[in-house]
Amino acid sequence: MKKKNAMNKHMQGMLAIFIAMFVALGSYLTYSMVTYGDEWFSTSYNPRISAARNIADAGSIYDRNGTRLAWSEGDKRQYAEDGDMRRAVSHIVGDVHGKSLGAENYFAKYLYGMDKGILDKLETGSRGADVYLTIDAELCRYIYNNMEYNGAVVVMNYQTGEILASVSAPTFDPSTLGEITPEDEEGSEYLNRVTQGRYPPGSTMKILTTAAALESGVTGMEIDCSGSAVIGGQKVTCPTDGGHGHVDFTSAFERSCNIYYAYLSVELGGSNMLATANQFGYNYEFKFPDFNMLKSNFEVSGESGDLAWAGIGQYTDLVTPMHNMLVSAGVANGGTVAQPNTLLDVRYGTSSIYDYSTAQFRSIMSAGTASTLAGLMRGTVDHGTATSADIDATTMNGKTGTAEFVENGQVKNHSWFVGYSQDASHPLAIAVILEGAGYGSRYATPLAGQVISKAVELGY
Amino acid sequence: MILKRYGAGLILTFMILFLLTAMLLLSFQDGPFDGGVFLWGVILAAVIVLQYNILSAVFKHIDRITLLIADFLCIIGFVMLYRMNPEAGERQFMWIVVGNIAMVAALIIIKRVRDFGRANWWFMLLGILLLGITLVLSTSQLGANNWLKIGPFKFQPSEFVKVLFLIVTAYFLSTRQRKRDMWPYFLFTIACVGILVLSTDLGAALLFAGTFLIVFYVGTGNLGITLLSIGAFAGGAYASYYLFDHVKTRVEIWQDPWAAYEGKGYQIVQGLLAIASGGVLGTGLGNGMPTSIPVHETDYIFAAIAEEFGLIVAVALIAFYLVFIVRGILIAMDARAKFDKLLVFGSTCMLALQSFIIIGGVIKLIPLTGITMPFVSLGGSSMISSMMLLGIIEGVAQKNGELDEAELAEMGGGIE
Amino acid sequence: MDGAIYEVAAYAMRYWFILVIVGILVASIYISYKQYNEKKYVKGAMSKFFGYLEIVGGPEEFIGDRFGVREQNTIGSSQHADIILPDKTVLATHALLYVEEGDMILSPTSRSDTRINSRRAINQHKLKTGDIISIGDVDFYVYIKRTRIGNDS
Repeated sequence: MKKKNAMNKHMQGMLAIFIAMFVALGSYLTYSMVTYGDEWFSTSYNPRISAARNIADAGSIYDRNGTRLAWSEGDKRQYAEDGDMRRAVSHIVGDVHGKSLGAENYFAKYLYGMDKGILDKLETGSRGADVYLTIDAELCRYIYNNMEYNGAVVVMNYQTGEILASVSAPTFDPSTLGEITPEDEEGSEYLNRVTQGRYPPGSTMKILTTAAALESGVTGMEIDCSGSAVIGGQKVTCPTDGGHGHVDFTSAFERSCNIYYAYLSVELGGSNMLATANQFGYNYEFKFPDFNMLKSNFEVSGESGDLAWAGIGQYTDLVTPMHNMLVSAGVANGGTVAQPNTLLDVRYGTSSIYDYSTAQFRSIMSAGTASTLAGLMRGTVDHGTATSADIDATTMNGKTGTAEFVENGQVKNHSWFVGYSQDASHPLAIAVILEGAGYGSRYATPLAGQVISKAVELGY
Repeated sequence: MILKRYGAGLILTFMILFLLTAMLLLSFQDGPFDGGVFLWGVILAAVIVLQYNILSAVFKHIDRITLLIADFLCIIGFVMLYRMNPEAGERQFMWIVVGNIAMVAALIIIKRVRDFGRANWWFMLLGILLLGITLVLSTSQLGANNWLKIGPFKFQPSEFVKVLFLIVTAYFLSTRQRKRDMWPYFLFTIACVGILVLSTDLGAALLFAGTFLIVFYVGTGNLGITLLSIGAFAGGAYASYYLFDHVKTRVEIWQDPWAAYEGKGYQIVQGLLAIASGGVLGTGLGNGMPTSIPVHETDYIFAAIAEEFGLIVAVALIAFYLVFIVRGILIAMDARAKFDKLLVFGSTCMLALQSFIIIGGVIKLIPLTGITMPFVSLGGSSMISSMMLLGIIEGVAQKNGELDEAELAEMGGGIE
Repeated sequence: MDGAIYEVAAYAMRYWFILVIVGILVASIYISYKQYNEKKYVKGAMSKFFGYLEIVGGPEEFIGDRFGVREQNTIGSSQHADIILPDKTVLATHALLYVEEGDMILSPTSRSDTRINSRRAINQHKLKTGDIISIGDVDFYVYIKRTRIGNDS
């Protein structure tokens, strides 16, 4: 009798485990479909989309000003006549062959009328909706024409989260896609570097390190920079000959002193830095509704040398241009980052079925920290490393960066600039990266200045 | 004192309504009304109604809910298979009929038999022989060598060894007190799992190992040996991760199927896409593209159902399995003889693990191991063995009911 | 049926399918739950009974009545007795019937007219199945359960 009861007890226990297992099945299924369902559905791998892809009935894609970027003529998909514009927006618009991921994929459900109920379809016909993007095609073309290197430029309205321009080079021509083109050989032209390219952030990482220092109140450090120092067995150098001399918290930021920041990172400690990085959205799986974006990477090892390098944007740090732009947008917006969107409107004929709304992505720092950082970034443009971004059209704040990478055994530099217009009537945040161009202050920074001037000229 | 047996006529009615309306809809799929399609629905409905009524009249104590849930799973599987490939649906109909015969046979045998006694030694021998022959003679199918061809018939011996394994398990755990008397059983388990791993039939290996662990723990309450076995199996799994490339790839694919899309991740991604395309309410029967999922008739039928019937029905399917399992374990707890207890518990466990492993694999909760979905997937071996497990459960339920009735009768009560 | 009409029909039918399937699920859960509770109750109640007494002799109208025997019972004509026998020959509290260490014991109160298998009982007596006990003019057949439901689960 005893034995049998014990057996029943065990059976009851197993029953509880089985219930837990099946509840887990149901919850995981629901969770994953609610969280990822739309994204999975719209991937180019989904044969249902290509099956439903009746090009003849597909809607058109416009930019924010109504410039037509993609439309259907019979069974053929047409793209903007202007060749430069077509190439400039090719990543953001995408293509119908599933080579790249753009509006053609992400918004397929609107373009092909898949969001329409079957009943609506019978009523209004099977034509899909027209999609209006937040980008300005003219600004994109301007950027494309002025990019002398491969890389990426992204401009966002930091108050509303509208992406005004997003250009990735090298680019491709969607109108010749599907035919064999010699450029196909490289293969990376389909990659949208804005959201899928991960680069070491270099000195732009100092925004994060500075925020960590400000939030922990470690701002009193002063050092004499001799151009190189050994920290935790690893040599950290400043590119300036002879070093920066005596630097404090402010001048170290404005003049981008690596050694100061290497010491500062070690002083702040790994867990502190990691916490700030996570707060900034590093190591976070972005789930934006309008596009996919790769995760940015920040990790710490036990070695203080690694931490020193991590604090100046090297070691294993990786960031996408979009994410780096969002950081400066956070500084601009008092610490709060608006969620970036590319979809402005969806219309069936003249009736809109989509309401653009500004959502908050997350708060990455306190308002006080943001305002101090704003001052430092102003100083950087005014009299620091980013003076070439000091334009007449608006007041620019920013930070340059030079990210080292090794290619074919040769050390090269990516040129970075992240910044924003301080003027609330021109709420523009920008990130520029030019691959292998050289120092940030020499290449990315002037381009950023030009782009913002152009944007202001266009009325943003 | 009267214990009422609830008729589940209402449930049966709804099930038949579901079957008939679904088949009616499908009969319009190719344009004008196709009476042949609807006729299949009527025939299956007749089979199920007959089966339910005859069984509940002859064996009035069988667990009707369990029976009906199994029937419903058969129905939804049949509808989906018929929708994807009418020829597969027709084959499945045949297997449902054969499965029912196997179920009744198992029911009657289990009702009569105490613990099979010496026959268990023959069962062990037969089990090892079946698995061994398959390993030696097998034809490779989708990475797992688990088919045996005899003349025109192809069958999966591991499905039948499942039933033998459960009987042997219950026999040894109920008749042997001392652990050292159980050695033949341990060796049998190790041989089964070992041969299955060598045949690369990882799903079945996992199923046998998992069932052994659970039933052994419940039967003996010996936490020591159970933990030791868990350690051994974990070690084995760890080793096979490094020894067998296909194990390693499966885990890697599970972690990121999208990265391996061009290769082995294809079917997982296609499964997820199908479920995602269905959304909460589904695309509607016949409106989706479930045939674009690889192995949509067997392993991936869950994704096909989820696409066309939607998330709600998919979650309901999981819940149906859970209700089935809960009732199975209650029957085990109610059983008087230790052999019956362990046999029913083992059968329930095996069905539970099997449905968990395949649904979890399809929805990417756990790494995918190819295995059929009980009662739903296309396949004779799988249907017959699942039905035999159901027959075992029902046989013991009938035994329990008869004993209850006798006890109640003593007090002037009964069961209605 | 035209393709588009089929699509619409299938699209509309999904609500019906969801309704039916969820209905079946809810009904099976509900019936399972009810059955489980009822079985638990019946088994719980049954396990309190250790046997029964069936009236086989005495006043005509009593014959065939059965009384379940619990752990402790009083037999008598009083309204407060567990087994009530409204008969002149039965005392208000005529006898006690209880279970001790698995045995069913009959303990007549003094002065009562109690017999076991026609022999006068004065002290406590163990009963077994098949005994006939007489309380006054009423004769009972004794049945003691061999197995008890409920202890198993």
